[in-house]
Amino acid sequence: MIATIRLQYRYLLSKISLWFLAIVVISLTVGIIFASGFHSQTGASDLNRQAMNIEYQNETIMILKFALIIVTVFLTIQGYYSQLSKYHLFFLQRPNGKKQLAVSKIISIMLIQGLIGLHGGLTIHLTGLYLTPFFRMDFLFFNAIVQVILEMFILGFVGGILIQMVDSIFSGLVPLFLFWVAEMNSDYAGIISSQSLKIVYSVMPNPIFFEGKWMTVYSIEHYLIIFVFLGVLNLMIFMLKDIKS
Amino acid sequence: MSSSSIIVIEIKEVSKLYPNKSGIQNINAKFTSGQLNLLVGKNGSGKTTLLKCIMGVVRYQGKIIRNRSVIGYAPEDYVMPYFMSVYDFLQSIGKIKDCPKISLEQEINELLAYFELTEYANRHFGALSNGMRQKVNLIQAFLNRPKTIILDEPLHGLDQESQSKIMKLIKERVKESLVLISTHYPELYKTRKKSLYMMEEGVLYDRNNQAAVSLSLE
Repeated sequence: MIATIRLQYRYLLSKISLWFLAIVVISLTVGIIFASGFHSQTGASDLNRQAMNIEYQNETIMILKFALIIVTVFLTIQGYYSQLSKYHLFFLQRPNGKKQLAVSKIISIMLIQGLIGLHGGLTIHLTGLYLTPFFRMDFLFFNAIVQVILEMFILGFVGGILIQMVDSIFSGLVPLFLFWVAEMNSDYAGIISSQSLKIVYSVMPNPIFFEGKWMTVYSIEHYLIIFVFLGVLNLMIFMLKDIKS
Repeated sequence: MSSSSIIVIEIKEVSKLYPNKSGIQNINAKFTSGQLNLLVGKNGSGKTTLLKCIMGVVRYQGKIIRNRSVIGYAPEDYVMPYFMSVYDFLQSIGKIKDCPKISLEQEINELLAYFELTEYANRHFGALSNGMRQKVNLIQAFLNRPKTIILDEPLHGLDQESQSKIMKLIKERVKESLVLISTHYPELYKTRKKSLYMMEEGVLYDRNNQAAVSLSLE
């Protein structure tokens, strides 16, 4: 299995992918550092620490979400679009090769998403602690970052399922559209009053800032069930569909 | 070779049709070891589809009976990992094919030397020519001495010397494995022990007894 994952990585992280991911990670890091306002005068950022902290949290989590959704869409297209998967047959020379390939693909994509998410989370906290006078460790904010990573895992599954079913790059852009809809309507009162927004938010744990704290519309258990369901569905579709390469 | 070690792939009424109506129809055939099984036919006649059915990577109607062991498969259309060295790639494929570590290293070195690729072992695929990549594609299929070897256009992109080498290796492996080759050039495989199958618009004809084996069991 380790050899399968290792080879899967070599294919996922092609020259173009590495350049792309490097640009996203650098942009994410620079964006977070600049969001801290380290370049402005300390006195200004020291004036209203609580407001500054909330603004910093909002800005950085938004930067992290955008970086991760771009990475997610890119990796799912790279991993599942048939024209970019002409290497699959090498993995299928052993009897249970298709199952191993399916699992290794999910693990590889999730690991890259997770590592970039972890990098973003660490950068947000370290930048906040060392470059600003206002940042305070907050469990709910930390939890929101974890939920952003879970949200991207789920959107990755959605993208993978759609690309496998429709086999079009455009179907891989649906998670971006879903994310956009959720992000544009991230007001709690608006969400609970709209049936369609409730459906969108029932699938993705997009954290929102409501009444001074970070929260999700449904519980973490609800989203974990969605995560497992979509993961299994993704695997099943991969097992049942023809390899087109 | 004793009769007990004969390897057989039996194809019974196998059909695979794609939405654009291409594919294969009602194929019946029996490929056996001890001879070279050559599958010929025009582009789009269904050769690769039949190989994919045997590999089990596409769903099909009908039945294919083969032992569930490792297959050595060299596809015609493939992508090599740009940033991986030839040796690392072969080692990964060997591990995927459950090849024991000690024999794997020896086997890789022997095959690289045979195809005069030893000096390229630590180079990335980005630095290799198409012919060299095709040699690596073939080497990975031969790793772990699989009982079934399926090669899709193995001579594609190879110079004459390399073609002779691969054909010599194939002749050797025919003695112990079931070898099935899809090719446009059956005349290049100079061996007495060969069976020729012709694919035409999704129908398989046995050129050895001039019958359409697609219909032979009807």
